[in-house]
Amino acid sequence: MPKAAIRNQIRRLRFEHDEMTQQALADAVGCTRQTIVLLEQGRYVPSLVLALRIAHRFSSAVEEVFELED
Amino acid sequence: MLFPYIAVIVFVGLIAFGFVFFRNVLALRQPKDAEPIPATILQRIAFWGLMAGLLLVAAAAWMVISIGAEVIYDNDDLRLQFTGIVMLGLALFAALSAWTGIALKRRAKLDERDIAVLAQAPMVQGALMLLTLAAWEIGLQETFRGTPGIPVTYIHLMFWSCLAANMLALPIGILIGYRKG
Repeated sequence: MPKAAIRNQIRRLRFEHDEMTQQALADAVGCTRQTIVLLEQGRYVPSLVLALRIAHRFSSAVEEVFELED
Repeated sequence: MLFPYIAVIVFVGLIAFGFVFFRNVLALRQPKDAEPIPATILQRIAFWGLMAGLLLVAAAAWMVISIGAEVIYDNDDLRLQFTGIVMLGLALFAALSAWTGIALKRRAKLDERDIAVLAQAPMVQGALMLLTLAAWEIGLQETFRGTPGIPVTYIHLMFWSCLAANMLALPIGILIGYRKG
């Protein structure tokens, strides 16, 4: 796995969207809950497709959800 | 004959390694206060496939160590039983591979991280094959040094053990991939 080099706002966005569970988000974007957990912990860098799906689920632009670490 | 003793030492070493490795193998490494995360489907299949594979390898190793490789080779019934164990292992491997292949095609049960883990897993196969061949080389060299040849039984065993190592290495590689996160 590549080392995480991006930050994300997934946890905050989940809570802002009716406290969506990790499982609900995983089902919505077509991945496992493990992947969501690792994403939130910054331990996994998603593919562009998954990043776009997550951003789309939160009706946000992808750069509002993910940003490069300095 | 040093070979049975070397085989027992290697087997005990593998069991010890397995015990340490498998204690929390299905648990994702999490911060101390975080709740445990359920294993993915591929992770569970790899784990139970590995357990079944280890059981079959243990049965075959037990036969070879307790009865003797040359006795098994010369006795039709015993040879058939040994081949049966190996074939059962092959059937298990084929069934798990078929499931994984179907899941990959449908993309229904595996996500991108599962696929990445699956793609890296074969690296373990090469390493385990080399280790198995090295163990055979050392074992045979020390046992049959100074003798005119090696009984053909051991060549068969070498082949079967390489096959077993190859099959077990895939689930091991998958489980290592998940442990790394």
